[in-house]
Amino acid sequence: MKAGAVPTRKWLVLLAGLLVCLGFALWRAGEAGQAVVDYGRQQALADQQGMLVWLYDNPFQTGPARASIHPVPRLHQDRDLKGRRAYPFAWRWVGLLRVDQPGQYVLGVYASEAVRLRLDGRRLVERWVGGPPRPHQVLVSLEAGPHLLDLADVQGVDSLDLSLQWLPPDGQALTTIPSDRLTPLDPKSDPAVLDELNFLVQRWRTLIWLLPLAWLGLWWLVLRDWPRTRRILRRDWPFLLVLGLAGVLRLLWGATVPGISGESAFYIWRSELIIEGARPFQGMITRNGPFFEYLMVLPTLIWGAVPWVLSASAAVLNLLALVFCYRVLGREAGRTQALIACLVLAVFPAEVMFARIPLDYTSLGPLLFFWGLDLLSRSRSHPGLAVAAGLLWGVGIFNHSIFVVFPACLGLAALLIGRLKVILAPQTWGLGLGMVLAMLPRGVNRMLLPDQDPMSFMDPARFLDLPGFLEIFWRMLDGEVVYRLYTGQLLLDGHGVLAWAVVAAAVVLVIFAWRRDGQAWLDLTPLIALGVHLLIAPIGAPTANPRYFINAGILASLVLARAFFRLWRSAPGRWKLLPALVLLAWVGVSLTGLGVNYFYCHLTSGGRPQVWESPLLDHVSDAWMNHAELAEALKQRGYPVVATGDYWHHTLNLALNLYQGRERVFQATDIASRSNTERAAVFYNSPEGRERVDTFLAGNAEEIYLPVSLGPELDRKYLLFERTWPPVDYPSDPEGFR
Amino acid sequence: MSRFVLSRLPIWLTGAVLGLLSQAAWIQAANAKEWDLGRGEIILRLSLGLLGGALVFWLLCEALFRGARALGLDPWPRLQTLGRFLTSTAWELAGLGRASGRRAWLKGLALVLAMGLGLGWWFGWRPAQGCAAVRDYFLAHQDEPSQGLRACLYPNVDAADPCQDLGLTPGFDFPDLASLPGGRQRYFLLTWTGLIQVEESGVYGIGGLVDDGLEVIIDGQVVARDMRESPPREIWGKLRLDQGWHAIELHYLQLAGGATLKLWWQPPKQDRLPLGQAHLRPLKPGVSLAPVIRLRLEHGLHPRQGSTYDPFEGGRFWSLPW
Repeated sequence: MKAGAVPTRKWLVLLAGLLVCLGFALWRAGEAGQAVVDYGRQQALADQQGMLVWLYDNPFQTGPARASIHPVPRLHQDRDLKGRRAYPFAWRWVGLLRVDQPGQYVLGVYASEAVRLRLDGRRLVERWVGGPPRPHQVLVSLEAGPHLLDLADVQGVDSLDLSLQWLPPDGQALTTIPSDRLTPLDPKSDPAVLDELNFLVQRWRTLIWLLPLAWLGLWWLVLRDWPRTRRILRRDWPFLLVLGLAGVLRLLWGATVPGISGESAFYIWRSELIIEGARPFQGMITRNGPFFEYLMVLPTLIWGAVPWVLSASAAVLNLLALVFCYRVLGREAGRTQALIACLVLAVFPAEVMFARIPLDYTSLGPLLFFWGLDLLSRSRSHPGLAVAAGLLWGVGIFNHSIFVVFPACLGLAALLIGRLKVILAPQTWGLGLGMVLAMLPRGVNRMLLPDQDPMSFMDPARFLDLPGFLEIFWRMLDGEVVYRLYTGQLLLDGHGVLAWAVVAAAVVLVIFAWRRDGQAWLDLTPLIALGVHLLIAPIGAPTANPRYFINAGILASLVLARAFFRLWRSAPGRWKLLPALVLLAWVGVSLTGLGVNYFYCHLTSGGRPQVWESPLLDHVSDAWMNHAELAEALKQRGYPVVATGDYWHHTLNLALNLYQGRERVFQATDIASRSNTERAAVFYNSPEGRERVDTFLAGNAEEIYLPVSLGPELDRKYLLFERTWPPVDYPSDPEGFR
Repeated sequence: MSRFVLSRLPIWLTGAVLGLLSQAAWIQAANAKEWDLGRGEIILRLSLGLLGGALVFWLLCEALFRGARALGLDPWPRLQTLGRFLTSTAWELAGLGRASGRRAWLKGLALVLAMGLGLGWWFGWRPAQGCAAVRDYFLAHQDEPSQGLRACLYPNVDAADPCQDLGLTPGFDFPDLASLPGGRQRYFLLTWTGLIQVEESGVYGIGGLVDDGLEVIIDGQVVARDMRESPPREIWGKLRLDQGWHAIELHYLQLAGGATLKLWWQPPKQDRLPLGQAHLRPLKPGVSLAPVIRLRLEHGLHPRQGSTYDPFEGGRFWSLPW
């Protein structure tokens, strides 16, 4: 057999695994669909015809629903409220469809505003956005027997438009589904149960293709060359331990430790849009996305839009970044250096906590950085890989322009250290070419749609904010900023020990670099890059964005790790123990800080955010904020719809919705898309927030909102206004609904 | 590689980049002024910018360097060195000098080819088959000696009732509600079905002035569509058609208020012409369009609408499941 060829036996293992995964997922998907039908059968009122209708007093299907039974919908009329104000509303029609003849059926819906049609839990029509009446048709293959039809719909304020049609296999035209074909569900049945069953259908239908892909990945990486895998396990077990530690720190209490800001919620919301068919640039601003959103699509399909999915996804991406870090440093500086760097990155409080703040950049950024570095390192023997490295870094910049500081800082460091000779290397050109190619679509999009992103992110005047940035960086290294913002407490003050350690490491590296022993470039590169980064960060950022600080944190970790390694390497004989003990002490301090200030404080306080007395952090950007407590308070107050007004990302509403998990008690909406069914409005307690209050009240002149207290802790951060008049009532005009 | 090419390579590359950048800047300026640039014009400008920039910059450099030579300067050897560096760098990066690099290229090309074939089948061949099947169905049910299109009135906008056959329509110029066939005032759907003859292959425009909604479907493909309630405005679409007969469906929607429908079409290289009956042929009375609905759905000709909108635009939308 040719060297490196995969034996037939292993191909058979791959094939068998693929078939098993596919078969299992198909079976489970079928079972999930059948469970929906079974639920319909259990709840069906066999002696009645028509459909069960859950009617809501708002367009978001939140709050209590009124249940009643009606014939199949066929409504095309003006709304008639006899002088009363019309509000948009939602309703959900559910019924068991009896099919006698198997075959290809066309199902059609004609509806204005938003509409979603499910059959046996499968989404057939999905248009959850306002608009004029439009027809939707789908072709489905139906077996004889009962099938559960589930039609959710929103109606606007001008007219009622809704009809449900079909075209049987032998039909000559689309007609309204006859009511005698449909059996309504019991009005006592619970829409939440149906939602959960529908979700399981979505999950297993996704796994039909995802499970075989996962098996393919496992086979390719682990099983294809089992001796090699065993070799790696035997050789790199210390790294696997470090990886395990990093995983535990990032995944521990995944569902309870928050850190999901509104901006994080934006990504999972975008992934929901993508699931529903959004093209790459739809629903995004020009400097941001869409790669993290596309990655988030997979876990969202399987687990739904819940906060821990975001945290866990970010953690997994960070662990992958560690793998590439280990690879590249192992190749360039040896396995010991790689192991130390990974250990530092694994336990450095700043890195651990940023890995828990899932943004495009904190999650995907480190992975793209280390993966690109790995390819760049391999391009020494295969120069073409430099183009691939450039493509990855270009994707990073495409994904968020802040990524440019990585190549910029490293590039500047390389130019200085290599005394410009680096320009002549083919790898430099390949890297540049790859970056240009990857950024081209973003450039074209930005050029063609300049209005999408009018904000400037290059303002030299912001250099005046440098002291503030440096202070945040200093306090971020041992996690103080995040401890205060997320747990509201700082039980164990580290007095900047970890930050001073970085300064000491920098001094050590300068001394070693002075010796010019052929390894000096490895000492100086992260150091120069960190210095450059700290200097240029404020110019490109109007606020203390976590994205900048994770960059700085990674570079600081590399500086620390390099200094530990240098001290250990140069120490003679028994003295080697000393740097090892220092490293262990450093790890101990980091873990203690994390354990006490992050995990313990959070568990005791519930993760209460605190106002941070810095204009760079407060209110201007909500990227640091944790809105879990506010979400809980609003849930308890029982408003079905709450308007929110924040400064620029309009994401407070997204965070509040995300914190509620898949079963939403209330719907938070942006004030720009208000439906007039809001019972309350919440704003930041800041000058910008108060401006938004004025805008909101001016835009709702016919409604009376009065301020109410959320309690002393939350009042420091938020302003709540409750609607007192006029009341929002269930719609009375659709015939027979009162 | 010849000395001539090596020495000119840096000049061509620089010129091409400068040309491209100039056109990109021009397009951005045009966008800022809200000039209506077509996609074709943008592509043409960028392509010509690339080639024209290389050519113009080369000619300029040739003239300048000739002048420089008269002054005793000769930049060509340095440019040749630069060209040699660029080509060797490109060769290194391409990896064609190594077996592994060549294999990577082969695998990449195979992958691109496979993806291209798959996408071509899904987005090209499959809908084209659907168009042909719809056309064949219409041809099989044409009312051969007649001219014009057959009108049908649905008394409800959802088209779920049997339609009332209103016979043949001679022209498509209905200035108001009273002139429209059927005699209804509001909430109705009028459809016209038949075939349209195309005398030469090319890109055809079709549409008109409409209040409220119009959908034009040719060979099962939606050419123009806007079904919103609106005052009269133009609804227009374009489609490439081959010579011969093509299936045509017109759906006119009246919701409330005024009503207008004036239709034109535009053969290649001609002005817009009123959509008369000379090039139109109706279907036989009572022909069922159910098979056409199925064909359109089977072949992906039915436009799919998703829940997509720009979250930063504000406006009216009903939030997602969470």
